[in-house]
Amino acid sequence: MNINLTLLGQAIAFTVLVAMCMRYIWPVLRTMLDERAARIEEGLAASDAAVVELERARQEGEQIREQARQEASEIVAAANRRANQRLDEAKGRAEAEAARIVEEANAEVDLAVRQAREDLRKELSDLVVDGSEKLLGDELAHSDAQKRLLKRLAEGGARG
Amino acid sequence: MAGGAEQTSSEYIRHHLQHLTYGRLEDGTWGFAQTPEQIEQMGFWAVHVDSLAMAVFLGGIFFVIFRLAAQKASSEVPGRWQNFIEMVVEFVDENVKSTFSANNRLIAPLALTIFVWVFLMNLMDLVPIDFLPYTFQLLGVSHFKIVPTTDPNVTMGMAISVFILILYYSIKIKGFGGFFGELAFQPFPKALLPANLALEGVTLLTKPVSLGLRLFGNLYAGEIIFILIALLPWWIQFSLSVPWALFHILIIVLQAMIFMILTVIYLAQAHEHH
Repeated sequence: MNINLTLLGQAIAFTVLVAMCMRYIWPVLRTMLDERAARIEEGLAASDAAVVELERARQEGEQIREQARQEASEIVAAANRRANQRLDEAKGRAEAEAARIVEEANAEVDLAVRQAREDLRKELSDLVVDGSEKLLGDELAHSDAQKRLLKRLAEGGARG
Repeated sequence: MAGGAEQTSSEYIRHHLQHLTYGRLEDGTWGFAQTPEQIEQMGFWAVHVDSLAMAVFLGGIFFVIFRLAAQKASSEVPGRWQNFIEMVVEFVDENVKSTFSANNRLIAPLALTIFVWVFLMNLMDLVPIDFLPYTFQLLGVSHFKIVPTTDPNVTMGMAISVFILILYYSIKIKGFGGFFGELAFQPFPKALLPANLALEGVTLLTKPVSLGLRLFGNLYAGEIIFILIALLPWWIQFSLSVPWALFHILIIVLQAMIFMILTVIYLAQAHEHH
């Protein structure tokens, strides 16, 4: 346990070592560590920003998809509407056509009925005239005025 | 036990506790002391060559390791070793920042040097006790203590250096009057100046003594235990030396840290205005 010059020697060695550390080691490492810390901070900030950006893009994509979905359903609805409209039009046309055909047919039937009635009346009046001629004899048969009268009678009877 | 067959236990212990000392011998020539009496006779004008050689060697290792790390330093992703070195630097830096608020470019490198250097010097305590001394003996060197921090000259040499820094910064920051006032005008009123001086003077002087002797005491005690364990039969030694070495791993780191932190605290106090 002797105190001797070693004390001084150690103090000198200590001083030199601290000076060397102060000059060659500490500032270099400290600067580098600060730089790296700054880079890491930047990287973290960038990744945070990227996360936010991703979320924003995701939302935007969702929005666009939603919009597209809406447009698509609108288009489908419009198409359906137009199809129905066409169908209605076609139906309307067909009904009109049918009505026209029926009307024409009715008209034809009416005409035919009238025609038939006319024919029948004519036939009847002829039959009446013929019958009357046979009933009344020949004297009447020569009078044109009576013939006309009989004919009018027959026509009036047929009408009634 | 590495000594000769005729060596007794006390001789073994004494041999292990003797430094390789260079100084002026009794006959007036300069040389290495062989016996404790010769060392005693050399007095102050002698040098523990083993302590200083190991201290400088380990200091060199510290410098090379950290200088290489500093040269390889880039803000890219670090390797494992690089990472470890940087972890040490960050650890020291955090400790300094948490206690030392003033702006001083010296404190952090000082703390790093103390921490790593003292740790390396303490670490030598874990080298099996006879390895290096025996090797040196084979090379013709009679004594060699490989743990510099078991030499009070080494620990007090550092503690006194720190003490000089304390005085320097106290006077630089507070002025001579301010520093003297701190010593003389508290804790009692000015009228009790002598009592103040005595109290504060002791407080001041305790700093380097506690700093140096704490480290020395812990490591010296640890070394003594290792020496005592080495006196046991060789086949049983491991049962004690292994647990003690494991425990000692804590001590050597802790003591290095305490030396560093106390240094920072003392210097922080030196920077404080009251």
